[in-house]
Amino acid sequence: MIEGLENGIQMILAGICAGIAIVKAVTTRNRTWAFLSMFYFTFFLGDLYWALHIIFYHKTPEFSFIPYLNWISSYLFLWLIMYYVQDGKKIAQPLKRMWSIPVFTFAMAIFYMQYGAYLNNTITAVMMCTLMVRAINGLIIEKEEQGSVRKSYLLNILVLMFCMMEYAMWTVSCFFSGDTLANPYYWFDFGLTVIIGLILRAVRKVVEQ
Amino acid sequence: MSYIENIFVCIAAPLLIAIICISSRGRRPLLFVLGGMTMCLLSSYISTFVAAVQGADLVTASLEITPLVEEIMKLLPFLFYMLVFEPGKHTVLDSLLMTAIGFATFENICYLSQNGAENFFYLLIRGFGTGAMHVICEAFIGLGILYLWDRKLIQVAGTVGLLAIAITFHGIYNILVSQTGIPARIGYIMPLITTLFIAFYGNRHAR
Repeated sequence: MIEGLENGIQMILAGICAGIAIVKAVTTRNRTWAFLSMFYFTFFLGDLYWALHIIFYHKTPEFSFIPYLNWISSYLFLWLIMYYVQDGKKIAQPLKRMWSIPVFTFAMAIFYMQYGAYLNNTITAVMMCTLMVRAINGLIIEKEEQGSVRKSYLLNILVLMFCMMEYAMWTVSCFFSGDTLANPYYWFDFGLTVIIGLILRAVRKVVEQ
Repeated sequence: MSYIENIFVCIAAPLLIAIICISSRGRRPLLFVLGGMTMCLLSSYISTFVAAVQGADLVTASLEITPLVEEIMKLLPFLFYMLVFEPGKHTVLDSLLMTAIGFATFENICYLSQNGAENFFYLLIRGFGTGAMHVICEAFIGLGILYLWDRKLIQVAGTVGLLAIAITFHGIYNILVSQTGIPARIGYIMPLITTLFIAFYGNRHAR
């Protein structure tokens, strides 16, 4: 019940945000909006596929190739937004010494691999690593360029929070189960839904400035 | 038992002769139609193989494995063309659409050979539903690639994302048309609505 409700709220929010971003992309012809619309659209489609499977077959997809492919693609589009906003700038020098990010993501991937899905965990680790590196890179660039408007500060922070929330959800799901509000998974999932909605506002701030 | 490789030989032979005889300008579209048919044949083999390896039943295979395999296979002739020949921007959409047309045509021929052609109304729905769905998925990828043409890294990353959207669109279509009543009707009109949307907004946006 709680899972269905939470998934439904997330799906509807992603769908509404996708609609807004698509209209903005068509009217302004701005590429950041186009990438954002694709981010929301892939997320929405992944949720929709999952929900339709549950509605018509009363079970989650047996192999889950398609929803996972969508969620990984949504990370890819989020990375494209960051790459485009940072204008393809190279990774800042202090970040090249920051080994903790790939170490963290791959350590977590190895931990999750005890439950299988080796390929999915590896790809997710790579995507999460690149997303976090891009987000921290954006923060460093804005700090170095003194005097400039910190236009993508909120976006970088939200992307970092998005990654952390995903990791919190995945880790918690290894230890807790049950379809009640006592399961912290749903709280983190709700937090993720809020962040997904806020990303629209952050991107609007970037585009308008 | 369906001998789809025999059907393939029968359909592909005149196309192959035409490809040899025709001028170089008309050769490319025919090659992509033939490529699409070949990919349809190979998709059928690969989907069956993956389903057998994973122990999936017919319904699970058609909902979860077939969309993934078919959309990836449909993109392969175009990816080969892009990587080997590095063509201009103007050939992207035509190449992808020709592959999709070849794929959908061969799939429909196989369907007709198995199920007959008595029910005109159902075949009309199938033609504008499943056939249009294959074409619309490739059109979507093509328009996306055109939009992301200028930077290689963005183009590669974007193509993977667009492929995921096409696969899910295909998967959702398969879920809906496997039902009866209103969900099936929504499924059948889904490609046509998407076609109208792309016709109005997609072309203008990609230019």
